Amino acid sequence: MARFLTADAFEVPEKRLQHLPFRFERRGGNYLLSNMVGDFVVLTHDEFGRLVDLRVTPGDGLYEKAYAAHLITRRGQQAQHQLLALRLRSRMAFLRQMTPLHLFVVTLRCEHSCPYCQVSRQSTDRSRYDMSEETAQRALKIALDSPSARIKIEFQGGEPLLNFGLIEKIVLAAKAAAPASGKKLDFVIASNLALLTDEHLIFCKAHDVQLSTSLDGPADLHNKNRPRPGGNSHELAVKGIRRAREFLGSDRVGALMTTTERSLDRVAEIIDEYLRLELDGIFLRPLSPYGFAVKTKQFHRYGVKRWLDFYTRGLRYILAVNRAGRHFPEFYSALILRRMLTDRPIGYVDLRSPAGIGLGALVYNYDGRVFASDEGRMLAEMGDNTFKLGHVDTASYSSLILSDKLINLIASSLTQCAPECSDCVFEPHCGADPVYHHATQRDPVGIKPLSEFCARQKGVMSLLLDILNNEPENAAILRRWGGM
Amino acid sequence: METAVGISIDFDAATQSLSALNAAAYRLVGTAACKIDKRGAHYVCRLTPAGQLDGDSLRYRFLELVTDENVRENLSAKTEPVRNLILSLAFGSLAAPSSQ
Repeated sequence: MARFLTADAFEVPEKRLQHLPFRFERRGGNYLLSNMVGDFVVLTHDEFGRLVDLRVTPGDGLYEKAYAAHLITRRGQQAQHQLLALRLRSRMAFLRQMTPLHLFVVTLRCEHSCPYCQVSRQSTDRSRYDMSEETAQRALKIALDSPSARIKIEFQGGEPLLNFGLIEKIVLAAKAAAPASGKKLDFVIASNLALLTDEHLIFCKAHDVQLSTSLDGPADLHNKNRPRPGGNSHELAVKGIRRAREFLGSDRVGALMTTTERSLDRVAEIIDEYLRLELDGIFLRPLSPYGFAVKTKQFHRYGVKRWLDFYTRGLRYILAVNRAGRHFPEFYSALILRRMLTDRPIGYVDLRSPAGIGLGALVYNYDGRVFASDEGRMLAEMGDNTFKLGHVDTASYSSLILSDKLINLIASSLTQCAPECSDCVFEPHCGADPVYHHATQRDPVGIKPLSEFCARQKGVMSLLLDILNNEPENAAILRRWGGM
Repeated sequence: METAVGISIDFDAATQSLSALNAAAYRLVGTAACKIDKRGAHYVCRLTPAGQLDGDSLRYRFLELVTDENVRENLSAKTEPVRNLILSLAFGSLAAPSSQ
């Protein structure tokens, strides 16, 4: 007669178990661990000790927890290796789409005088700061030579509407050339919308061009941050947003805010302004260390601790809005959550390793210089050409991307190899920012214990993890943002 | 040992790796500076706090960091073969054949 075997027959001798690669750090009295693809698990001090020593047995709870989190495996077992490899490959698949983003700086002229301006804009009467048609055509050829099946052409400035005639020519030329290169195209204009006319809107509608603008909060805050002659930046931005949403569609217009010192105590008002204008969400952005933000000392006005406090209060306020029934994500949190909760390949250029410089985006300046990123262009306006790759007159896509300069910058900043990053529990969801670290520490890797970028990333991810683990109602909202 | 401007901690060089000490010292950058010397069979770590951290707290923190780095080194050595296996399964097909 058949009998069931006793539980002893299923015990796994310690020597049959082995560790899979994982990272850890202390969190209060506990340990936070992550596996090779960034799945998190929290263990007590005792559990961590038992895991390290492989003192685990099927049925003890810890064995199951560690096995499910791919922290341990049985010798001779291959399924977990295959699964981790598959997930890793999925997460890195963004590398198959090379340089999907191309920024055209069509002019450096702008009629605003924002003290935190990152691009060192020039006043409006200096027309030598406009991109020429010849430069634009050469840049377009380089963009269409990128292997990516779908590219986004983003028009930047200064204020790009001041050179709208060139935007029209680039869009039409790109659409004419795209079928031959087999590419799909997306277009965006990053504009303050103060100069938006019906002519602009008609063109954007006809050619499916999206608009992205700046909205720093309620009128007094926005106008203080973004002065222009007449002092009516907010009024014009709001008018432009409403007109554009009505004419192009609500999903064709987005807004970004920049956090200045004045913003820090007003996060709820800033969010309320976005809600009032029925925008789809908000991106709580810190100030960057480039351009006029450094020159006017705006960048040094607050540190990462104050920004994290701002972000935390903002996120809590937004979660309350969502709990009340309105879907309104914080976009940076949503991006991080997609990284943490799914294996979808996310090539967001500012948060990936290998870094997004060149591989994720190329920037064609008004004068024909080509930069590895928009921030690299901003550094050049401050006299630092570290991230200049070439010139449209002499370069090709291959020569730019395969340049020793770019390869060395990317290779030296890989988080998978960098000190402290390579052991960090958050590394699978983080990224390299060689431009930021060069700007702040004169080194593309940076000393991470001193890096405000690092502190910001850890702060955001820690908060999101804390909510996911301990606040069920808010966790459900975060999961929706993450696409689950 | 606590000096007027920092503390010293000794480690037995026979059982404590230099690389783990260096990694722990790196994590302390910004909190304390660490100078590591070899004296006979010992590594001597001299820690100078950057801020208000007192000697006992600094010692405790550094010892925790060293303990963690030792665990990391141990785990890394044990898991390196399987890590390389997983990476080769994930990306090995992208490598060009040696004949090319």
